[in-house]
Amino acid sequence: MTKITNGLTFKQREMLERIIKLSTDSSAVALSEMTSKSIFLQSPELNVVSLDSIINIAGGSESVTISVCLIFSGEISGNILLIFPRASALKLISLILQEDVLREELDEMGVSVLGEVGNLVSSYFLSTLSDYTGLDLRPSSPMVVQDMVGAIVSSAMLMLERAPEEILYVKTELSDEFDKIDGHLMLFTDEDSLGILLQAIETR
Amino acid sequence: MTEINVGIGELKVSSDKDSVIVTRGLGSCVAVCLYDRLAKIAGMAHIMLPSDNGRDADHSARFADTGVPRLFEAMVKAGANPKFMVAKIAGGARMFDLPGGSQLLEIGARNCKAVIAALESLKLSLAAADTGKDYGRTVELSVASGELRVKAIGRGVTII
Repeated sequence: MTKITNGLTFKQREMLERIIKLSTDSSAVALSEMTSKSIFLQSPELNVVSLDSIINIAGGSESVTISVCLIFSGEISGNILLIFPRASALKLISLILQEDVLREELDEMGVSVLGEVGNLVSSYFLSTLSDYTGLDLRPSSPMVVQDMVGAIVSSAMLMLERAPEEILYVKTELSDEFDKIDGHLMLFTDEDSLGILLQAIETR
Repeated sequence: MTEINVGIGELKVSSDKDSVIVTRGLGSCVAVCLYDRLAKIAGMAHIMLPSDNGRDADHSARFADTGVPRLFEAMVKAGANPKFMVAKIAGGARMFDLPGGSQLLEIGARNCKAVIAALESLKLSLAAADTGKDYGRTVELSVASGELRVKAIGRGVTII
């Protein structure tokens, strides 16, 4: 497992942040259309963090989360993980289904809604990334899981046998006119892919 | 009761009978526990991946093939006798599922297999296991009794 030695260059950070901003903006527009409400996505901030710290940021090993994970493959491979604190995920489901009553359990409908959110956010992200790097990227179907943060984040990362030490991490905050919904977006790439990705961004 | 926390890829050994060795939020990772029932010395390793493939420069317990022997050595160094040592393992879940499946999702099962192979090559007997399935686990190893408490969300506590 290697580190992103010396961190990201100025250009890499700037480009990645632009890609993330563009894709979260598009996601917000799509979510607004889905719900016919104004959904805002706070301008997201990019960080490079270790597995330990990302688990803490997302609420600690044992806190309960509802997450969406997609594997992508093509010229580079990795996965995208969207982590919501359980209450935030349930709020998001109600918001999208335009229900007044907050849900207490994750049911099939909820799984399907969150899967769609995952699809939407990651396809905007991957297609923007593709546009900027020229890399060919294909996502899997979304996998929605409710469990402990530690179990989900470590397992998503370790799906990549050559897992890097560090993770590209974006904190997001969704909101409509009334409610805030916390979420975390994480991008895991294997060692080789991260190098190829940063190189593609650098040389553009 | 003191809690000794084992972080991801770490290992800890203790002979303090008033303590439990804990690792939280295991998914596809495997907690390997060794216990000398006479000397009452307990150890736990948090294994992340099956094999280090020659890249393990530091002394962590990240990989089954190097981490399990390191845990064993740490136990012996603390005074444990291999003759009275038993092993228990937990974790190795398959957290994500895709229609049609994918080799990538089998990492938990491969971790378990590698851990069991490493225990066998140290001639350690596997006393109990709570592995696989599709949910995360938190585990607590009692130094006084060698009991392993396995907790999962909505599933209560299993003692192995």
